[in-house]
Amino acid sequence: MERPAPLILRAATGLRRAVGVLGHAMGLVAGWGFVLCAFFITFDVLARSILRVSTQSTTEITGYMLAFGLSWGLAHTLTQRSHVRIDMLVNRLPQRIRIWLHLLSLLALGVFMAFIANGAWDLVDESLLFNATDISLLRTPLAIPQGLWAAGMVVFLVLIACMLVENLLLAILGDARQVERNLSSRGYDEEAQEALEALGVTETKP
Amino acid sequence: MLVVFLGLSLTGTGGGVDVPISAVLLLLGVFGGFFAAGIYVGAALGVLGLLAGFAFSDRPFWTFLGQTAWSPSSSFVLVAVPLFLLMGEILLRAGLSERLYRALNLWLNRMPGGLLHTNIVASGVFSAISGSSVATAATMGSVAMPFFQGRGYDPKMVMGSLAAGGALGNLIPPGITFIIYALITETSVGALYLAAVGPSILVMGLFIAVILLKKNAAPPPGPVIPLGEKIRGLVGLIPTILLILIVLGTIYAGLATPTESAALGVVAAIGIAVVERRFSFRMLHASAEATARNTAMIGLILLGAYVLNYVITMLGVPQMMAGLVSGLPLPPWAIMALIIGFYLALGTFMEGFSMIITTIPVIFPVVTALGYDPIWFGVVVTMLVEIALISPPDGTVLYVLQGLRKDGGAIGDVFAGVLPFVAVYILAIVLMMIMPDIALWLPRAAGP
Amino acid sequence: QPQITIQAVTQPTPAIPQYTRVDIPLLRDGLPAASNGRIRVNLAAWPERNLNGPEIIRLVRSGQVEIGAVPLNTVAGDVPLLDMVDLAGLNPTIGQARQVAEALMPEVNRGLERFGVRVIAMAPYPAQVLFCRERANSLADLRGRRIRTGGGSINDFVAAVGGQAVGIGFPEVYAALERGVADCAITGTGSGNGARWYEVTTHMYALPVAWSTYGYFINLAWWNRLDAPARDLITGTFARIQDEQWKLGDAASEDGIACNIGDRANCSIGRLVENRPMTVSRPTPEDLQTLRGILSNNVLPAFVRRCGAACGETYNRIVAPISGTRYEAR
Ligand code: NA
Ligand code: NA
Repeated sequence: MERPAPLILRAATGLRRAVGVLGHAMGLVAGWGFVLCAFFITFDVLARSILRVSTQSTTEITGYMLAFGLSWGLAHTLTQRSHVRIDMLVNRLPQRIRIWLHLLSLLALGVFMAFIANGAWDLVDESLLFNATDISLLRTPLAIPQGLWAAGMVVFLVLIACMLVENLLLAILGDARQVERNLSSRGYDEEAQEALEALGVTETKP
Repeated sequence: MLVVFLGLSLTGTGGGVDVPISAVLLLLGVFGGFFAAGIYVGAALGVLGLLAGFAFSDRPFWTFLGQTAWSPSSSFVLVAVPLFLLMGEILLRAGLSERLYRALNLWLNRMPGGLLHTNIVASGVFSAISGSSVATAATMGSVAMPFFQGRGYDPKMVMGSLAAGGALGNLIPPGITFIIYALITETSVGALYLAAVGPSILVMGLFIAVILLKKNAAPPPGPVIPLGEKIRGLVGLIPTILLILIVLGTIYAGLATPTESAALGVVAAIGIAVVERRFSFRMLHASAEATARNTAMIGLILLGAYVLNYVITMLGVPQMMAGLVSGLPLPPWAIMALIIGFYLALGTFMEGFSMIITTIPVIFPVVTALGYDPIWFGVVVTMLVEIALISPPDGTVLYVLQGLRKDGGAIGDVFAGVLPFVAVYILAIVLMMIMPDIALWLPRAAGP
Repeated sequence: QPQITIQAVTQPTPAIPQYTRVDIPLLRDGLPAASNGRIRVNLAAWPERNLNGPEIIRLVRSGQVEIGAVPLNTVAGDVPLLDMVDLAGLNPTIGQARQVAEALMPEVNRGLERFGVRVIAMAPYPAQVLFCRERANSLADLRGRRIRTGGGSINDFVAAVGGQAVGIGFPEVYAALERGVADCAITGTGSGNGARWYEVTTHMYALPVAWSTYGYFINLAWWNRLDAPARDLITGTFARIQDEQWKLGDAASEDGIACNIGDRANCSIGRLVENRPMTVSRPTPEDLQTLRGILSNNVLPAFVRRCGAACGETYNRIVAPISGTRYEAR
């Protein structure tokens, strides 16, 4: 029988979940963005060769799509524990050391993303100051794609901060197993489950 | 390799340089520490860049990180990556990759190494359309990996052969590296493409030899399959061949650029799934989600790599090291061997593209002064970039493959698996040094 | 006197003559020599610093480098006024391109002041002409063709002649021309030679659409901190660089044509094309007349729409007396 978690921990977990849900939704939007991007380019290629008309902006638009998809998927990927770490050595250490290395890893990610997210907002700010556009036919104001891109970075940073607080509390309270569950890389069973689902094995083999 | 640079640092030939070579070594040490501690790879690269910047730069470099991160995020060169990833996810869920491999297996199951060969051959075919190694590895990885699940193949060799196959992406024409090399050095893209044919065949042959030698990596040969069944099995290849024709054909017919053809591939894959009655909204949704996840996974590493790149190029580290190597009083072949060693060392912690972009302007005049053929060197450099992409610990292709992996194994498998292939790739370069005609006979025979 | 170290990033590739024949001898080597070693210059081409071009004003602004050069069209997304110097069809001769550039310099610097940068010199690339896979003898031949541009007002020009502007990243252009994804591409006569486009195109239509005029941008805060002797030295150096670059631009324009058509006697800067040289067509007076019409009817109005009405007035006040074509609001 576990004792109820302290209020502060429950608050941290709740906050982390809320940001995680937001990140998940953003990840799905990012994925569908790529699908739309594929159809958009295909449309442009066909229109160009059959109708001889073109939006003439596929290079720019798809570039923005990549930036958007990349950054909006970051938080979701962290929740799915799919960002790459080299944990060969870490996994051989005892759990009580391991969880601190998990936290250190998350902290390093937080520091790095703090610089990037800050730089991203400065970039948007600068683009607003310049009233900058690209030089394609569309003259897209750069602050729009850059702003969306920066937003993804910020949500990612906030999620990292929430996870850091939550798991630091867990570590201090001595719940190492939960930290391990939250922060270690994806395990065999999860990956295998996904692969089987993707292959549709469960459907085709009675 | 470190020994060489330690030796160089003692000779003290680097005049007018702000970063001491010992500092470069220290950074390499910190880098190793980060990896050992299991820091996220993207964060390890990025934080290393920040540390180097704060230690050595007299510029407010952090005020430029937004732009530094924006460039690769919106780069047209990388747009093809998520599109090919998406295509791979759809093919996987539509059961097409399964059918492709089943058909190939009918023909290859008696060969030692079995389906591992298809990783190389299929990557080679894909490389002939794609100009990007990361895209090649991403596509072939997502198509091939599920098939090896639970079939008795050694995961090390599966991952190693896929990485090796990915490292053909730029070498087999077309390739982005050749185009950039040609731009910087004013050599002919066409001649470079021709010169790459011989080495491509050589490298693929060596890869196949590696697999043949490691015959324990594949399950024992299956029963003899009657020819009729083999031929019937070819039907399974039709959708994939159709898809290749669409992607390849539109490029060759001048209807689309390689980047655009990736998008056509996605739409065609959806079309094939619809025709095969394997399409569903849920399946597309799952493909989209997986694409977003894998793109972000690769993206975080790229962000870190670009920050590190920005800082070390701003500090002039690659140029300094290149100048050091090329200024030594040694015979031409020894300088060339050092240059190759220098790229191999640099490739362990630098991204391939920026590696050539920043160093070729320094190295190239030395190479031509030594009497080496610029076309030959372009091929060698491309091979070195490819090696950088698959050499641990910082090889983009390796992380892409690890990210696509479904069996939950450690990245150590990937590292260990790719090493024999890296070794024969280096062997290929040595052979080219001994026999430059491996590259040069074709442009001479077919040249204008 | 304190030592001064200058970081400078100037050309899109390190192999072009603008870099090897002017920037290296005058800026990288000349300035330290003239200052008796007091000023040190770390010069690099864009790729050596991993740069693409559009970010260069911001690079200078943030103090990463003191001096950065970039074509004005490339950064016109940040500062639309910069486009005015080198609008498509504005300058039929390189002499006029220089006159316009010098006349606009004070105005450009007033506009740039609030961003913390200024232009210290402007210079051209060789004439921007059309490299085509098929016969192209006149503007009329461009109708319906897919033409790769670097963006900016050249897109308006292409649209006006009935062509279709396609945006393809520079590294993909060679392959795009080879496969016919683009029918033509616009770049400098010498630049196309350097990028070996003659391997994948057959006809050069030598209408000088523009000059890809670029500016050497400097960080204003740094400039204001410099002492007077250093500033004088640098100003003098850039005056010489500017002179040399305009001379080179002029020479390289004709040289590029000569090299691409295999005219050995007149090809000394670029690479002589011996196998399958290109065919060149010169613009007729009618074509130049049409180009002028396109400037006033298409290019100028589109430019003012992007840049604002004030830019139209500036144009009429400073540039129209030189070009002889006024901007009419409609
Ligand atoms: Na290729
Ligand atoms: Na590497």
